[in-house]
Amino acid sequence: MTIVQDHLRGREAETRVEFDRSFHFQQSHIVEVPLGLSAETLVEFRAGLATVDESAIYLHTVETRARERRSEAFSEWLRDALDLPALAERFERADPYLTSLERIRGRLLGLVDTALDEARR
Amino acid sequence: MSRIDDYRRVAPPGAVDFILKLAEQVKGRRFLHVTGGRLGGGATETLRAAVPILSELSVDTRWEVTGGDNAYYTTARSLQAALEGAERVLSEEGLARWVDMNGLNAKKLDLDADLTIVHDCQPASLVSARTAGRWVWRCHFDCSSAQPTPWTFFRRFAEQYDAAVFALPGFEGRLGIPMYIVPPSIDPLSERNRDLTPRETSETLTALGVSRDKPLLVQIGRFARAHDPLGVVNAYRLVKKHHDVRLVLAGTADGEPERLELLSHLLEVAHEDRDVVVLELPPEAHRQVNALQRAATIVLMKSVRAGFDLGPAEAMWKGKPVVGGYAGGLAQQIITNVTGYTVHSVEGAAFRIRHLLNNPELIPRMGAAGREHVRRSFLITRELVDDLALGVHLTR
Repeated sequence: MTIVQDHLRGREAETRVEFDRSFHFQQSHIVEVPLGLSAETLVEFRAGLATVDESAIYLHTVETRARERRSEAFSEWLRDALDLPALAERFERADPYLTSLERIRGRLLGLVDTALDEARR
Repeated sequence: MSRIDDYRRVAPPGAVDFILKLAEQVKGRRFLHVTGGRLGGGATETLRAAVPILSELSVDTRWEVTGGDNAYYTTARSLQAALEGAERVLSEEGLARWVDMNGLNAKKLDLDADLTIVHDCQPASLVSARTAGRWVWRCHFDCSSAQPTPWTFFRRFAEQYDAAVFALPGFEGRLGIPMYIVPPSIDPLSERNRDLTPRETSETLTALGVSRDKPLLVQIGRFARAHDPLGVVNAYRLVKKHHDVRLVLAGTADGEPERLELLSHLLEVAHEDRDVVVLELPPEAHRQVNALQRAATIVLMKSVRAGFDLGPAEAMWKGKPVVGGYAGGLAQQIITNVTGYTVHSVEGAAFRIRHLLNNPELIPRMGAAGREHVRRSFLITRELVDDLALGVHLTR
């Protein structure tokens, strides 16, 4: 808000957007639905991550980070349940603001595959 | 009729499983859709696909239709046109008749449900007869520029609902009830959008008299000024100076005088230029539209005023880049520089078409991006998720 106010203060006249290009403020309702899909190993987690609806990717990455409901985040589960702190850290470092949720899914699957390869060696 | 499992091969990963889980959440609750008819495109087309799927998922979903005499239908059509912003003469007697007929409809129809979703204008005043459950008005058109007097009249019914649903932010009128956004969708397994074999496409185009010996620019839509077909012809002429292309304008005139006049003008243009093909198609010509979109090099939708016309989504689903006007839901569907371009003028349209023809490698790349964009955002599976989530939210 402060940034927007500072920016507007520096302008001499209020500018208007062209017709029909207004910004529409909206609020969101998140309907959380258990998918009946659970994982107890990294291999099972990978299978779920690969096939789950992209809204679940959104909920467990963007939404949990944005609203600080970290208990459901992938990284916390990897650290606490599977004792994989290095992989959890890589998950946390992955930027959820990629161009699409499918790209986030691809990035996270890549991290899991690397971890599985390392474990096999 | 398609079954939910048929959508697994076209929907994004996990989408069908998500629908199954959402359906479990609303099991035992009764849903009722009410429309002004069962035929035609838009909302009813989606319901024709969605209601059987929801029944297959054991979600108790019924679909009722209101009816009446000629005066009822005439008033309902005029009222909706006025709510869409057109100038119409609405008499007090006609509006009273519309309300009375819906009162009779309310007595005849079984309106007992946990969530009743009333679509568009014709059945909207049924809400006055509500007894139980929650009621939602689902508005599929842009009522942001409604004529003031008709809106004042209509608003007293709209505000009796628990909520309203619009297709796009900005399409709503002023209402003091919660409002939700659910964009429309296409059915990828319908005759209009299903995969066609090359032979089916060729045979259909041959029957239409459309040759594929040149790149095809295709615009499909009603022959209405809102879709600016004359602007498309002018853009084609600018392109034609540099590229040997063919323009196909296909659509319906619906017997309306203004549209018939426009069609007649376009037929004259086609008579003078053999590379302009004008096809008047019946509303049920889904296979023909499918084939034309698949045969197109670039699909145009140069509307200057539009609701949430799903022509761009249909074309993108077939892997085509779209050059569309900056109007209504078109800008929502087309991602500029990724799946096509939105334009503001004839020259802008011509420039973007030439840019694509001069850079042919962009055409399949944008087409592929468009198909994935539609897969995620404009398939019926996404709308089923939205509708079920709304059902969970409103009936818990």
